[in-house]
Amino acid sequence: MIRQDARGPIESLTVPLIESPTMLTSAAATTSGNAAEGDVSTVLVVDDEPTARLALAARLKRLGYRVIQAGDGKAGLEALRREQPSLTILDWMMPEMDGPSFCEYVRQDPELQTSQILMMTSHDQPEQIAEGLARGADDFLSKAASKHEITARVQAGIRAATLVRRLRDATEEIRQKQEALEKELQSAARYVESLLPPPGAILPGVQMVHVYRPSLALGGDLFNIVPWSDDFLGLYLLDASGHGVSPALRSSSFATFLRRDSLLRHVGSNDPGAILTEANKQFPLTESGHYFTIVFASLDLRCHSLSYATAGHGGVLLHRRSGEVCWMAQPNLPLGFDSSTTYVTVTLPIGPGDRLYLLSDGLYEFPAASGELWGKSRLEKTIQALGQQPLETVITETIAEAVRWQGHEQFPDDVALMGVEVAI
Amino acid sequence: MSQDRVFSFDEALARVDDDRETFQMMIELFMEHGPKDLMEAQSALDAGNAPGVARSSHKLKGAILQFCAPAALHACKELEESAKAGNLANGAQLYATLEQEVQRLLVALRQVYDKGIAA
Amino acid sequence: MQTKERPVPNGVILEMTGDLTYANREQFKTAVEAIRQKGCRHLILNMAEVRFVDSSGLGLLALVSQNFKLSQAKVSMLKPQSYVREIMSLANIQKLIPVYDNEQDALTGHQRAA
Repeated sequence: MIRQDARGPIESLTVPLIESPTMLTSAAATTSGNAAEGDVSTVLVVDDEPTARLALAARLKRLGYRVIQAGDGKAGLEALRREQPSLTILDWMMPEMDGPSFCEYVRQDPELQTSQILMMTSHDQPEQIAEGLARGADDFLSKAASKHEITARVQAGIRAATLVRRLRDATEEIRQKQEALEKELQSAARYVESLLPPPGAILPGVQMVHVYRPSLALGGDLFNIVPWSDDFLGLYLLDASGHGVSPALRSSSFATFLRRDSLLRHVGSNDPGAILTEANKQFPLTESGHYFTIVFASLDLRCHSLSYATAGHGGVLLHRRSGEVCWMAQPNLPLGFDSSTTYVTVTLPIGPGDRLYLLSDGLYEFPAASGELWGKSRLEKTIQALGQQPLETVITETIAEAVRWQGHEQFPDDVALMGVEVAI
Repeated sequence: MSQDRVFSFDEALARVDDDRETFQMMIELFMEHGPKDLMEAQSALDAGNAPGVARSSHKLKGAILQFCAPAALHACKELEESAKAGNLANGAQLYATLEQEVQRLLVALRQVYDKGIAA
Repeated sequence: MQTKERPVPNGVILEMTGDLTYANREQFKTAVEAIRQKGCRHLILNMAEVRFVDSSGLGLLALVSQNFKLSQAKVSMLKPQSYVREIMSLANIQKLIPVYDNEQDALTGHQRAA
């Protein structure tokens, strides 16, 4: 009598040997019950030989699995698509579609790609293993395997299928959460935009045009105007350090501080230096080291003068009607760094046709594909080259030129650009 | 020839964990399909179709394996291996041996079946 | 970011290597806090091997300076390199944290970097 005690072609698994039918069932109960959906894992058996197929199916049922049978490759594929079993056990040699061909079909189908396939082989043909693996089988089982071997390989296959499914589910969950988060960030960006004034004429003789391109990772850039009186117009651009919802929240709370009524109460004037000095006290560095940078300007339409103060922010540019362009910020500590800082106001005359631009550093600190930053210099040249074209055109064209440099539409950081022109 | 030498009832039954109902069905299936598979092997052999012979003998092997019948299994593997290698020179002889052993197995299984398997 | 401490007369020099950014903040924060807890009177940050500081990094430096001030101690900065130096001066950091070009000057407090 020849014992058909076949060794598996793969290294042996460390699964406890099952000795009796009752142990078989209870062991199956602990390993087979982890399918995502229900309590019982499904196994598909594909073999054109009915006796062997029945014996294997009966064994699997005894182990506690639900079994689907198919008599050929085509029926097997249909059953696989319909039932989505955890494991498929498949004979190598079958008419019309053999085992390896079946595997190839499965691996090409995006819906079925992750299915576990256990291929049955003749135990005296180890070269089958290489071909089987290449064509898509996950593991192998000799047709002459002992019941222990069969049990061990099936359990291993089910475990692998469960792991793959869990991983796929977790990945899908993460993707959905990511999508939901991005949607929230988008609506937060829209909220920030809603705080902005409508473009066009603010006061007689003053024109304002703005563009705001929030980054995907929602920064804390915010800009607005403060209509002080018929003759006075305040405007500011604010940047909260960090990314995400937190800086956006901090920015909007600062924006509340910068409303006309609040400034009257806390500062008592529209002087930019005084405003920043008070803001510096009211908004200290947070525990995690977060802070604001800001440029605040005030236009006096009666005296035709521009006053401004900056705190750690370099984004203020004056384009004179004569064509001269100058960057106006002085080095100054960001808000909250040192509570004793006094911010100084700078005042200069402003005339018709002069344009003041407030802009985020995201507008000049982004890289091209080569890694080179666009930089303040190129931004300045772009604005200068556009000359006295309408303010709206300058704003639009400047952004377009930046997009051209970058090579695509999405800037890595918030981009805000606000232009103000005095007509009279 | 007594059934003990053609196939081992105890081993075969142990292979299905004493599931007598399933074992009975398996015998029924083999009694139905075994002869058909033999005929297919014969036709393929007559036609000189080595792959066809390999497929049919492979199929038979799958069934024979379930019954722990060493002589039938041996004969089947011989034919299958020759056919897979594309060599049908000894095909007729190997088939004759296989046919004889399969017939013996069918008779032995029939005896067990008629006696009644269900305990 | 990697850090390494080196004791000097009346203080500690913290050698820093890498980027001072939001992502790398923990290492720096932990190292500095440990130094402060030990009662250091003068922390000198050696920025020679720091390639990049982002806005969060800048905030961290300010935070360290404030915390040390509360402990009646001081913080100085040593040898910031080109790009980092530019960021520091745009933010006028030297008003908060004095910047020096060499160790000797940092220790004596004379001749701040221009």
